[in-house]
Formats: sequence, C-alpha cells, structure tokens
Amino acid sequence: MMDAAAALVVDIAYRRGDLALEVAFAAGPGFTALVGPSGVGKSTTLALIAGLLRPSRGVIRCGDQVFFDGQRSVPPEQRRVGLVFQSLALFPHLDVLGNVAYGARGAVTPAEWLARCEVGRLARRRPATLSGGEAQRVALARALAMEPRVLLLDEPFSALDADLRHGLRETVRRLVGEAGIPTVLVTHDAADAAALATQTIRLPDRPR
Amino acid sequence: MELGPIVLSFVVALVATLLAFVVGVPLAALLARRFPGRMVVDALVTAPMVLPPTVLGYYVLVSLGRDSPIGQAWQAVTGSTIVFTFTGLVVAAFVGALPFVVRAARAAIEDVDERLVQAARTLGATRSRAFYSVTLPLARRGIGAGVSLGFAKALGDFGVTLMISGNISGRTKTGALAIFDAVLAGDGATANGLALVMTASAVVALVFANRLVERRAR
Repeated sequence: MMDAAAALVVDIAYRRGDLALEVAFAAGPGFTALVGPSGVGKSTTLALIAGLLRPSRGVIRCGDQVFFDGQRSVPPEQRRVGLVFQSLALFPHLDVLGNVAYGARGAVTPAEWLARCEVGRLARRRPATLSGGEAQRVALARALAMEPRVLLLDEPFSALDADLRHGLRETVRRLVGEAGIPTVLVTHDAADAAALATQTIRLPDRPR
Repeated sequence: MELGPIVLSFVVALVATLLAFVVGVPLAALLARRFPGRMVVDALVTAPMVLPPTVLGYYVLVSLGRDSPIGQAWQAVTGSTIVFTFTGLVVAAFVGALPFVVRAARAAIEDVDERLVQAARTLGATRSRAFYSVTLPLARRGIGAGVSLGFAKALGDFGVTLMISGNISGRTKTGALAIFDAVLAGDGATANGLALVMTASAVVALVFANRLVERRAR
C-alpha cells in the first residue's frame, strides 16, 4: 500500500530536560497528522526530522536516503526537508520573493510558487506587512520552492479564523497532492487531522 | 591651528576601525556560541575598556616592541618597527576600538532569532551561508553601532598611543597628543581648537551609533 521508495521512516528516541520522547512511524505520500497534548514533543519531532536536533538514538530515513542512523547525522541543509515553523520564520530583511527564492531549486520559479500558493501579488512586500494568512502561504511557498522530499507543517492553521483556515487547508491539500511527498502535519485540531490526514500519530502524554 | 594631527587621528581611526570590524565580527560570532573558556575570552576582549592605558600600552610594547619576536619579524618584512610609527598608532587605536565592536556585534548576533537561522538551514544553507545571508544582515545595525563607538574611541586614544608611538611631531602626533602639547606649551588657542574638533567628531559618531540602535529597536 505504502510506496516504500518515497516513504519517510522515523523510529527515534530523544531526551532533554524533562522531555523524554519516543516516536515511531512511517509516512507515505500524503498527510500524516501528529497530534497530542502540548509539551509532548510534536514540534521537537519535526526539528529532529529536519535535522535541527539530534536524536539520542534511532533511525530516520526517507526512501533510500538515511538522515540519521545513530552515528551519522546528515546536516539539515542536505536533507531537503521543508519545514514550515509555527512562527513561520520568514526572513524579515528579504521581501516575499526573496524569501521564496532563498532555497528555491528546480524548474518552477519562485514567482510561480507564489502564484500557486495564491499570493503572487505579494512578491515585493516585506514579511512584516503581511496578514497571518498571507504570511502562512508565503512560508508554504518558500518550503515548497526547495522541492522538498518531505514536508513538515507545524500548526499551519492555528492562527487563522475559520474562513481562512478552510481556504488554506484546500491549498495545502492541492499542493501536497501535486508534490506527492510525505507530509507531517502537527495540529491541535481534530478537524484538520480528519480533513487532511490518511493516518494519525498520537504522541502519548507522559507522567512527569 | 595645525590640522596635521587631526588628519592623522582620522586616518589612524579609520584604519583601526576597519581592522576592528574585520577581526571583531568573527570574534563576536564565536562568542555568541557556547564553548569552554568563552567567559575568559570575553573578559580578555573586554579588558581594554577598563584597564589603565599605561597597562595596555605596556603589554603592546612588550609584545610588539623592537626586541619582541613579532616586532622583529615585522621589521624583517617591512623594514620598519611597529612602535614609534604609524603602525603603532593603528595598533593602539585598534586595541581601544575592538571591545566596542565585539560587544555590540555579539549582542546583535545573539538577538537574531535562532529559528530564522534554522529556517535557512532547512532551506539548504550551510552554517556559514546562513550566517552571511541571515544573521549578519539582521545584526547589521547593532554591528554598525559598535563600529561607530569603536571609531569614536579610536579617534580619541591618548594613553596607549603615547606609550607605544611616542609623540613625534609630523609622524605620530595625533590630535589627542597635540592637545597635550598645546596645553603644556601654554597655547590655549590651539588646545581649544583641537578639543572642539575632537569633541565634535566624537559626538557625531555617537549620534550615528544611537540612531542605528534606535532604528534597530523599532
């Protein structure tokens, strides 16, 4: 059922401070929702997959490329894992087009990625001048423009009201469908998970 | 009023500030990261702000003087000494300017949101590209403020300069030293003129630094 060649496989443990995280799943093309109470390590899991943190032990691989195997850890810039931060982390000193162009590769131009995310008209704006929904779409365009092998979305809809939320959800669904890549979606909202995800991974709450 | 010493002060301060920028920013980037001995390196870099100029001048004299290995190597290559020359003036001004550049640059670099650097890394940037394309542009106002302060400090150095470059008229007599001479010689007009020019220059540099910091905060 799952296309093993394109699948993201995560089987790791991570411990820091009073966070003790163990998470294992495999994700094929399409959405995998990562849910659980706050503070349980959802964002940390994304940072581990992106290579921003190093697991204590375990394996992370995508298709036949090993990201982490206990000894070797591929640096984030070589993983091609697109990460949309909850804070979005748009570069404030670059305009919208500059943000999307930062990691862009492949045949589709940054301007075209903005158009696909329905924010082509914002190309020359600064991130500080964008609304929440606009900034969210720009961050999505920036992550997609690097043609990632895996896409990670951290609470992409949480800051938006219901109308915007629905519109963005459909955009994300369409673009992830076209990209055909494993996409891990961290969310608080059961409706988001139900609307998009083909599988849901629940991180257990741990007694402190 | 003779303008030579003022011109010399400006040339020395410009060269010294440029050097302090080139050395200070990488040093600040290093100090913004955690490593063993960070506190000691930080204290050593900052020490020139609080040490008596005579102490600093003495260290420079001992480490770069005619009998020191560095001083001799310099003389073998360039044919002149470091002390009692233009080079010595630059070294003295550099020592004074460096802590200002490093402290301001370090604070500015630490202020940059770590998630922006992480975002750059996930977008394919190596550690150094992320530094040059994200951290440095976002820290530029703070670094500019430090450079302005460093320039003001370099412009006005007296003690260290006197210790390692003497006070040779036409060669190593800077504005600050010329004022000293004018006062000793009872030449109030020259002292007044030089003091005014030095004060005005320092105030301009400080206003510039403040404007950079304020715009950053906005």
